[in-house]
Amino acid sequence: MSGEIVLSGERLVKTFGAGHTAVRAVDDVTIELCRGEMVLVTGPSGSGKTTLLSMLGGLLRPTSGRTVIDGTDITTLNETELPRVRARSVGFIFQTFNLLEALTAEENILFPARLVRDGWSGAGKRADTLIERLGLGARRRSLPRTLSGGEQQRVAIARALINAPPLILADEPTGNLDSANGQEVMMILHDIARDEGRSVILVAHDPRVEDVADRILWLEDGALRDRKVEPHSWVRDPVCGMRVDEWSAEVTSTYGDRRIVFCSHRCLERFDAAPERYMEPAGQRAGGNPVVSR
Amino acid sequence: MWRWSLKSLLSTPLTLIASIGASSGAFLLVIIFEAVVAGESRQIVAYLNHAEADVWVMQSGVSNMHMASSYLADWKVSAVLDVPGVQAAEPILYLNTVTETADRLWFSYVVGLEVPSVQAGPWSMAAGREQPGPGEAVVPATFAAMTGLELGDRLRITNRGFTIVGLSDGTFSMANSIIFITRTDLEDIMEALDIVSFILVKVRPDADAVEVAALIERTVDDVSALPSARFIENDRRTAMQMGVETIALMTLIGGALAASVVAFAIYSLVVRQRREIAVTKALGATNRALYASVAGQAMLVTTAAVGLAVLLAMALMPPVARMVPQLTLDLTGAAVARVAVAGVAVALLAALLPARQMMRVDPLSAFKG
Repeated sequence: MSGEIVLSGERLVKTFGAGHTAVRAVDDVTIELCRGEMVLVTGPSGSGKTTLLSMLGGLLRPTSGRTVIDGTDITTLNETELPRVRARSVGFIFQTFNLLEALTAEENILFPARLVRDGWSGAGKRADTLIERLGLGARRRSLPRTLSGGEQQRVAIARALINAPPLILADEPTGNLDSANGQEVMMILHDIARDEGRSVILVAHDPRVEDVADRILWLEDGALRDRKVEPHSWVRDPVCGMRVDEWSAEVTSTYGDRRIVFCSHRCLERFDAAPERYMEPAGQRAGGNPVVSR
Repeated sequence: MWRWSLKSLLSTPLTLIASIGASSGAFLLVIIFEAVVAGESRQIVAYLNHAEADVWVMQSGVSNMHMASSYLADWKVSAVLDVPGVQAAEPILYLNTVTETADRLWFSYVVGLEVPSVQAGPWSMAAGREQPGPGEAVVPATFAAMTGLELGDRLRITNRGFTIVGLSDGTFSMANSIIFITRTDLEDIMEALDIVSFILVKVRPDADAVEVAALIERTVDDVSALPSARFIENDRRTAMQMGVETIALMTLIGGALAASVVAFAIYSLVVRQRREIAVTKALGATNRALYASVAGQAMLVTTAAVGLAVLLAMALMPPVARMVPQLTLDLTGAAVARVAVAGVAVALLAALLPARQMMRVDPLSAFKG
């Protein structure tokens, strides 16, 4: 990570409505992102995370404040210039993948290359590299409806990277994925930031994302605040090894007299099928899951 | 963008086929109407085309035959024959009137011939004699088939009855079915002796029709003389002038119908694809690029519809012509070109409404699940 600023949001305010019904969805937020940095924006539902992300990505004009991406003040651009900057400088990853249904995986990946001047030159080669890197070689000619959620999100990541933008904005990228695929997607995004020097902003509720983020910003009532200290007791899911908060976990089971917690129902089902496979006596805490040391 | 646009269109084949089918129906109407008009415009001058005349001489100020009246004193036939360059001259008497058969009235052109006629009679016969005698008529075979008339049957022209002695080919159109009788009989009907309507002039092989026509006008008092090509063109223009507004209206209605169908199809596609359009906008597609893609979709549907309409027209016209003999259908390259140009206008027009809908799509909605 270098100190070069790729994204700067300065005193961003977004107000919806007017008069006494006005809602300040984002309230005087200032944020900077360096090259190669991965920042998690988290907070409760309705706290303004997606609104902030939209302003940072040039999809929504702020009521006041400005956004600068890679040296360009996008708040001053008109409706013809703004899409070009988005195509060139920002890669979007959505919770629902948002692939174009009529196009194959490869065509989806190549789609943004046509939106950038000279973007098509070498795009095929870049797509090949991304397909190879993201393990999509066998699915390049597949339509989105035939892909699994994890594969779809990997295609969406490749699409976000095809124009080599300096900034990636991801809105709940693991929200529709099971734990294994969610973890895989997080590691891909982490590698993109670390290895390629791209700046990544993630909006997520998933506490597991915190493991890979360089910084965590807490947004509440539209403003960045000190994060509330919440008590956690981290243990590992015995099936997938994912970190799980023992106190708040919703998927639980018992094994003998032990309480076991899981990241998902999928892991619980696997566990129930062969519990002895996962509950080796060695390394087990007396109460149940392996403890996470942190 | 084009690939997405095309594949999106193809991803709903039933809708696409229905849109192309419905639009082609509208274009087919326009094409058939054009074909009827083209056929009629050819048929309406069929008599002039087949009459053996290099120059037509008529009353001064008259310049065509369709719906026109022309009266010349019959001594002018001799005067025309005396003009240098004239090889032969044959007069006809001519009347626009109504012919009455058993149960219908038909608008007809009655040509009174100097019998035996060399230059002005029917040029092709289906049955019977081509030269009528006193009290006899030669009628179009199509006309006879439609009305159930046969050789030997009677028909009424104004207040006189005639016996059918010949059935001619190529002399029927919806505007002017041509009936041949003797000049003497037509003089009786018109109560006008010693007059003719037109003089059909053949020029000598070494003479020029344009020069001979000019010479006739200078030599013979109070006549107009026109080379055959110009006379035919005048007649076609006059006849078609009466149908131009109807053609324009029908083309407009057909075009509007096609535009509505194409617009509805593309609009439905845009509505179905709101989320994807939002995604493409979020990824950086401009409104202009998206409009071009919608216009491209509309153009594709319209082109397919026009192509299908032309193929259908080519397939349908022969059986239609057999089933409805009074119709003369003529599918010309010019008519197809006109429909194709109208198709481009239809496509661009049809893209406007969906484009407006598309431009309203907020890229932010890509974030909604």
